Amino acid sequence: MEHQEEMQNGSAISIETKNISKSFGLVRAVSDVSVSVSAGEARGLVGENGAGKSTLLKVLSGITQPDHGTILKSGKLFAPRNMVEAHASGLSIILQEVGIIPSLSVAANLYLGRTNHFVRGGIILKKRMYEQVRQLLSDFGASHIDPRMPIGRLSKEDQKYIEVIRSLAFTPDVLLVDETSAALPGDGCDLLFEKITEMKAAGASILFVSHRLREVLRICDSVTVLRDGELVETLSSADLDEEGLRSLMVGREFSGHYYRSDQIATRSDRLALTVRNLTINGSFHGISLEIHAGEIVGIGGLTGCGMHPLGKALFGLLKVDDGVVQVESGGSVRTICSAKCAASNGIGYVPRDRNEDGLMLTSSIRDNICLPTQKQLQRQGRGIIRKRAEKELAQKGVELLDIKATSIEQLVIALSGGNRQKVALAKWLAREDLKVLILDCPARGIDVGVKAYIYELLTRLKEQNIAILLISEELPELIGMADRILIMKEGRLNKEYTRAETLKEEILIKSMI
Amino acid sequence: MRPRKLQSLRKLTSVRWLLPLLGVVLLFVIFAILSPDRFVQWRNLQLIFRQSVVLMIAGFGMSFVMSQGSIDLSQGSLLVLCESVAAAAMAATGASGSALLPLVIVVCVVVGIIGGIFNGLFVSYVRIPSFAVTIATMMIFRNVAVAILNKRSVIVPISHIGSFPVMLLGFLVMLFVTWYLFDYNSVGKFSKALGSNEIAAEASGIPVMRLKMWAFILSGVCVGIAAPFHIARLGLCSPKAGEFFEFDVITALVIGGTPLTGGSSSRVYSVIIGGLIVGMLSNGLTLLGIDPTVKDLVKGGILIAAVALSLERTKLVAIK
Repeated sequence: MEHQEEMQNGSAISIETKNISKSFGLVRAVSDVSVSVSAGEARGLVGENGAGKSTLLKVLSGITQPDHGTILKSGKLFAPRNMVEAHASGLSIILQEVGIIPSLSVAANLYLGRTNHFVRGGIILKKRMYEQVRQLLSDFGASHIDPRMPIGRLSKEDQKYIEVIRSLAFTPDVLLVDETSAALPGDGCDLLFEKITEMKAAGASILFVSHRLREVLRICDSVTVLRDGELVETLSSADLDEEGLRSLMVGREFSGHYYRSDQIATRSDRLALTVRNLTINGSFHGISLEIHAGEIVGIGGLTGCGMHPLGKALFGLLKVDDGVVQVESGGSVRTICSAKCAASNGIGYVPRDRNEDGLMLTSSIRDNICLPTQKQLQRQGRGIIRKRAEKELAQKGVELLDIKATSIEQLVIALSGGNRQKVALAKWLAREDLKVLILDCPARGIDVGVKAYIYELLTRLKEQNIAILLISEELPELIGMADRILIMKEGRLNKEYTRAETLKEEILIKSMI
Repeated sequence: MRPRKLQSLRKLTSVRWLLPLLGVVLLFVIFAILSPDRFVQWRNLQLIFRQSVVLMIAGFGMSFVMSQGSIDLSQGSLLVLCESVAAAAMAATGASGSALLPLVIVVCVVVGIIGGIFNGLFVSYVRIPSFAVTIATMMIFRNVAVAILNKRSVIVPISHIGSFPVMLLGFLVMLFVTWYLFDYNSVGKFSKALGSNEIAAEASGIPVMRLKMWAFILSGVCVGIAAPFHIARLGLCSPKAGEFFEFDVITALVIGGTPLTGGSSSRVYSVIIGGLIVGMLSNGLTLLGIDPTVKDLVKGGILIAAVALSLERTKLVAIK
């Protein structure tokens, strides 16, 4: 690489890769990448999905071994054979995927591989371990968590936070963070950033991967851009803005706004979905709302505010304690009693976690796209689901959403995150009778290119008079796309805002907290 | 770059499903060489088919259950339960001659459906894992059957349907019905989806509970249809009939390439290929004069080899 950037500022280079390459089968995930991060520097690592960010971090932390190239840590050759070895020599990684053992206690997870500290005569002194952990948790502002509780029973956010604590607790001199802030609650994020600043001051090196470019620019001193496994450029954060970073990532100029261009709330007169007094004890209470055809209604709030279970409940996936969901279907009003009932009345639902809840990863694109439409196809084929009809439908979906795949028979697991999300959308768009689309964080963890595409698609769907419920943790997304924004707080609808140019994040945040 | 990797993966999977077929050919060649004068006889080949047809028909039902990632361990006991109730019905009505066969068939199918509903209710609506439910019903069904038969064998004279043409006809009808349901109907499509990712299936509006119910009913129906053929082959109904039968069926399906985890790579073809392999093994080893106890040893070995070779798709995750 020509871009052998050295940003030494006089301090010793703490972690450095030299010409690292790594292939999986025929794919070169990382090719010939040389990066060096000085002591006391926070480096951002950005790029589209599949650009090789995660692979590079995995090579650095010994999870996978590079095909070529070497790693130097504080000037010395560094070749960890696994994560534990890397950890032992002062390099911590916070993984994008959840890296905990659900059935073990919080304490056991925190001290995974380090329980020897507490062993006396072959017995783990649990009491002492719990005390230590309690101290540790309160240091990190998480004293509400019981160290003895099996970690699987905590919320997903708390689980992630325990992972963060685990990586930070043992004062590493190199910290790798892979797409973590998206999985953390807001205050957890702040704490992580605070710790990063502290570690920087203490002379540690940090490599920070995130899709949230604003965050990257705020925390990192410099940013390295990867594209298709190759290093594009390393720039100082001071010389960059989000816009410039985006075009570096995609490799082309990016038009400034990718949200809706109009600033006026519009909708048709026809009611599409009516929710009355919907309640699930412990999740949300007395939710009433209406969505018209051709309207995008956004729901925002803090992670635990109940908006995610609400989305599930609207699609009939959760049993409700009180209230009704009704949908306008063929001139009559239908009450939603189950997911099957919701789907057959023209409601679609794209879950927040597409891999776990939304897709059949080990099935083909065709199987995934055709799944909600099988009954329709069976009716059209007079009792026989024809392969040709399936293929046509899947092909149409692939073309409509511009899914990058070799063929419709390709397994979804082989697609990048953005293309997986497109498949998750395509399966509902394949239904001709789609009237309401419930989206839970549709742009979560996908790159700007696909994001822009999805927003454009939502605008098109709005024009086709489809009612859209957009549940989102990203306030700019809500402000940019929704006709109306409902803010939830502690399980209740707290405030409603109509689309306006003057609407700012700060206003929304006030009603969230 | 990405697409090329996928092509190689696809090639791998597309070859994988041919492996069991290769196994059939290989086994055939081995036995043909070792016992040329007896194994490759038309009569013997018919015998192999007739020996494996009961297994394959029950296997058609099992393939719905297994495509969902569940398992039905009660098939053997349900088989003997169907037969025993049929024998009891024969004794009670005094049916004989041409009236006997319809009676046996109807009774077997009805008992099969009831057994399937019983299993399905507990698996779907009570949400007990299929393994636990069917291991319980394996014992329950067998005990009821033994009680009905009063621990004695009963002769049921319907051996005329045990001839090759009749069995072939029965097999073909079942094959086409299964094929249709499995690959051209929402029941099969949804079952495979459920086996791939149950949560995603439910979030796509698929009635998961009802489908689990259906799978076990289909399993029961297929056992009910297999039962008369089973009686016909032995000429009687014994309390020991169908012992370890479910394991033979599962072995056949797995050898044929059905993934234990369920999902989209389940195929009807696996039932036929696996059934033929198990049938040929029994027949060939007997012809070679090998001790019957060794048969299970060989079957077990092949089962492990089959699972090892059938590179579960879940492993692909590790590649990424």
